Amino acid sequence: MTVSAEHPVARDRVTASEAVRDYTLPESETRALALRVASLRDETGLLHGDASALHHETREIDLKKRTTGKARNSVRQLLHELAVERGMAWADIADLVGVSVAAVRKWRTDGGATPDNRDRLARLAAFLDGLEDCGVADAAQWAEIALPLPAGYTITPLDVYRHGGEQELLDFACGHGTAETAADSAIPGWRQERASDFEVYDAADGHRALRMLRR
Amino acid sequence: MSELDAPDDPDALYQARGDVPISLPIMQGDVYAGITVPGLADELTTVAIVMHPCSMRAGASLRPKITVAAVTRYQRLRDAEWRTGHVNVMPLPGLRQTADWYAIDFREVAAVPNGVLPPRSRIAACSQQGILLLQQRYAFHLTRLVVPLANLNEVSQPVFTESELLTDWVDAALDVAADGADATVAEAERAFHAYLDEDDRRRRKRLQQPHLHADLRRECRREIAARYPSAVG
Repeated sequence: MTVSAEHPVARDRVTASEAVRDYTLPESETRALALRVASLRDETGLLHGDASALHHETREIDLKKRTTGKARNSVRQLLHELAVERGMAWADIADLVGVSVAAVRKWRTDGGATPDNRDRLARLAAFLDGLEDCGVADAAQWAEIALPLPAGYTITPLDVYRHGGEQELLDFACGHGTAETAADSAIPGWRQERASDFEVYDAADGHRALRMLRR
Repeated sequence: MSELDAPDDPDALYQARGDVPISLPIMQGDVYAGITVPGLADELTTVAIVMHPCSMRAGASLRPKITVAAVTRYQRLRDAEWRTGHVNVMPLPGLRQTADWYAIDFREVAAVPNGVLPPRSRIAACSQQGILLLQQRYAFHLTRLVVPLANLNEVSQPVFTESELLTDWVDAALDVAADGADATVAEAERAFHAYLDEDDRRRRKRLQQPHLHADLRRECRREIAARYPSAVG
């Protein structure tokens, strides 16, 4: 109800709070207000996008700087950092660098990785340091545990890293993004291509086993 | 049917070919040449282990018999053929590092005494990807069910981690060994399994919890460094 000046008797019966509650903006004013808020929302969205892009840019500079520092170490030192200090699997190190496990094992003895491969090892080590900066206590462990995605999907941070989703993983680890955004960024078709009807469970014999997913 | 998977690069099927390091533990997908297998072939033949790694051992010891399948020459396959057909075999392109293709034939299977598979007759060891592709095809051959590689990988993580750490352990032992290689490997394998079984099998139990593997690797690799301080790796 809108209070009208033409009906003083009626106005006397309305309390002050009811008057406030019943007050309705003219249509033109509500529209203007909605447009202003929509505009503010758009601006905030653009600002958020700009801030995210700037954050990724600055973080990339930081990662490159860290990588350069790490690459001063020998290949054997880098492998020691990743495998012994961090606890990564040789198979994962090899996979992320893009070589065979046999090649990595050979590097352990002769240190003979190419400069590009040494940089890839250094980059991986720098990325794990970056995860720690986001508050991840055990970066190697975190990277091999499946992301919190809907049931039926098994994608680990290592999968996302392998497909180039470093920044989005760091966003997720820092609480600036979701696991789904990280997966989307690196593996766009994961919802169709990675869907599974199986789940892993601990069988009575003490080993892991598979069964159909109960949806 | 849902499609089976195929390797992006045939070389990625193998962890080693030709001269397979004796530090690599016996594993599903290992290929042995010049083997006598009664009931499978009258003359010397080539076979691959198809037994699941979890079933191959009773604790630290190999079971007395291991299930193998015949490996024979096979036709070249295109990617689509690999994914949708030839489901009775696991193709092994480049097995002998030539242009010829070979395949594990799931229809020609036998159980052989483990002594029939000497380490020096091993001509190839599959990579983790190779093992998962073999498991997927073998499961489909037996059940007509396509199991995604990611799920097979989840189930196999304990075995993969154990195998990798055992290889590290044996490599380090061989680096510092004064005795013969075979005796060193046998002793290192025994010591590794005893280490896993210490403290009421605490470490072996952690193998079944992949979220603890990074910590287990750190602990085990520190132990290797302590036991074999002059090892190269």
